[in-house]
Amino acid sequence: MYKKLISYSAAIGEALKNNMRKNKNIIIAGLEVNYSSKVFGSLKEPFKIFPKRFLQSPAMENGLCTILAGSAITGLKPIFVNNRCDFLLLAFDPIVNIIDKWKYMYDGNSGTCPIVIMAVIGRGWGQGATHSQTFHNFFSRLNGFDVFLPTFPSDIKNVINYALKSNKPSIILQHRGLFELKEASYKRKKYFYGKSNIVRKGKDLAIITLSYGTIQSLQIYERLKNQFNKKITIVDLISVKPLDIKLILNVAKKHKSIIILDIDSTFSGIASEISCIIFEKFKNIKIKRFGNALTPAPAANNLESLFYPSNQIIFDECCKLLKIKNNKNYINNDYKFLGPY
Amino acid sequence: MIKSPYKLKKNFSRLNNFKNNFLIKIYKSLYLCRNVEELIKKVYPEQKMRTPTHLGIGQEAISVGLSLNLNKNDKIFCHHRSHLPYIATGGDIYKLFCELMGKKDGTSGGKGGSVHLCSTKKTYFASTAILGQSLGLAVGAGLTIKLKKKKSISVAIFGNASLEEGIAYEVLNFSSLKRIPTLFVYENNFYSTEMPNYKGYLKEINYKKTINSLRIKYIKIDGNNVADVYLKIKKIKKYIKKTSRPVFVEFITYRWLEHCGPFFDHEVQRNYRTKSEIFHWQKSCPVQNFRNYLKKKITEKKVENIEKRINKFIDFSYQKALDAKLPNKFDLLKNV
Repeated sequence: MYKKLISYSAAIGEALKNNMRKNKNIIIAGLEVNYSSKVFGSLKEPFKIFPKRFLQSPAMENGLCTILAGSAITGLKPIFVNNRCDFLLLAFDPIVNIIDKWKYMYDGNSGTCPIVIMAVIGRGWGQGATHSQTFHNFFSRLNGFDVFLPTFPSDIKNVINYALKSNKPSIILQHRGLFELKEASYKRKKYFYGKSNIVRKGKDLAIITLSYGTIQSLQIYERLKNQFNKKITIVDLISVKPLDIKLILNVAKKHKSIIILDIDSTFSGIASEISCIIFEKFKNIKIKRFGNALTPAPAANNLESLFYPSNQIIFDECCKLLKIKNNKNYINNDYKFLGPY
Repeated sequence: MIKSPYKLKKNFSRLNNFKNNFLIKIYKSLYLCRNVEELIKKVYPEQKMRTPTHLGIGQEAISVGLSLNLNKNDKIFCHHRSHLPYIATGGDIYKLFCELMGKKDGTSGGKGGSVHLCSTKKTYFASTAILGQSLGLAVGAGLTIKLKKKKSISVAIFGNASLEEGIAYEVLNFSSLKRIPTLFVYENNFYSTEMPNYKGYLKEINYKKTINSLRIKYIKIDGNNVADVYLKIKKIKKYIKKTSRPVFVEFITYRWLEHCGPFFDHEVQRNYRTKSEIFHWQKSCPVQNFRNYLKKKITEKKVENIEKRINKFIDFSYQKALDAKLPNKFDLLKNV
């Protein structure tokens, strides 16, 4: 059987390449698209074949995003690529005031604005406060957008395929820690729009998470399985907008307790939303939320590992909820990112 | 007091070679623009049109002269003072009134309001309310035109305040760098809302130098003289199509009414400009000046007949809009 390992960044490249071949209106634009890194390798493949469809711009996130919105409403299918999610803040005017509301504001009489915005969420190696933020919690409040945070190479491929065919604007956020993640490409999962993915099936406890949180949860899963022979359920949301409420409630019904692990702080975010959705239906369920500390991200290595929810504290909480006596220290420095950017 | 740098009485002799029918076409468009706005001004306090409305009375010649040069493949993106280009490019008046009254038949189904008009099938694409967006969107449309190798241009209409925004520099730089066929229409009416430009900028600032340094052609035109606007834009459009380079045009004009609403500033006790300044500029009225020229060509009676017919048409459209349906409760959740 065909069993090549495909990395996250290669999957992005492959999806873009295939779609660009089919749809001549797709262009890739951004401040870094022609740089040699090619957004951590992900744009290398499409650039080899379609270098003319790469629009390298000066540093102008606000202007460029507005321009791309203008090209999207007049018939192109632009992909706005950013090396960091934080840079998108400069383009929030077009994102919020144009792209998100375009269809509604003109009641569909002015068409849609089918742009795809891709950005990388940074973490680790001292990225600091302004290179490690994610705004999926904010984006999930916008009505016009689809917001995806796929975890696995096969997922990102499917999501890009979907977004590039969709008439709606989409935001795809990729975690920097996932770019080197490899998966056997023969696993051709089907993707259904708005559906989340049950990565592991178990009993009693479920972790609902997304993006890099899924990788962390899988490490905890392995540990629980090997050490205590306990299996837990892991749900990878894939998209926060639309949110797969049906699946979340279904999981909540079958489990006594639920951990929600976000890659942002939990305050006023998707974790709060999910817990509310569950509590409205099931009053007796135990819910615990994990997320970043309520501070900007620090650069110092030791503070950084305190800032992010570590495997240790989630593992301890799992043991508590599963009523397992856990005397052995379980320390695993889960996040291995060797920088610089 | 800000005075007009041009003669208040306009000279239209350069239009002498054109047929009377064309002159009538220009006047019809000017008069329609003026009187739709006048009607909105009149009925606005009646609380039937409940949406912040920016009237452009006094600035008609730019939209009319510009629109006469454009066809349906060209795309206009407009700022918040959005009615005049919409009307001048042949936008449906009934739909405009409906939009202002929040009726379902409005250009944007009653959901947009005065600042969010659209007329995608015609030259006028859409108007947006946030400063500077029209420049970006127009250059985006220009990018599409360029990449799809079409032979048309895109037009950005904006005012003084938009040019103060950071996005203006980004977009102008980009359009020059990538050779985007965009016409930048800068309606200079000397005020950013209520701030006179001489208070907002350094005295030495020279937009011509700034724009030229980005290698964009900069042209200044009397925005109250429809002949000037029409003839010069005609040449500029040819230049843009031939070279695929953006051009920046500054139109000198003046807004008579308050920034947002139906009153004169002195009527509502605002003192950022004087009554006499407005009276001065009213002498340079683009509609009245052209009327004086036209009536010598085709007699006063004919002009009056044209006006009567247009007034009737406006009234008819307004009455029809009054009777139009409101959006229903299902429309709230549609087209998100």
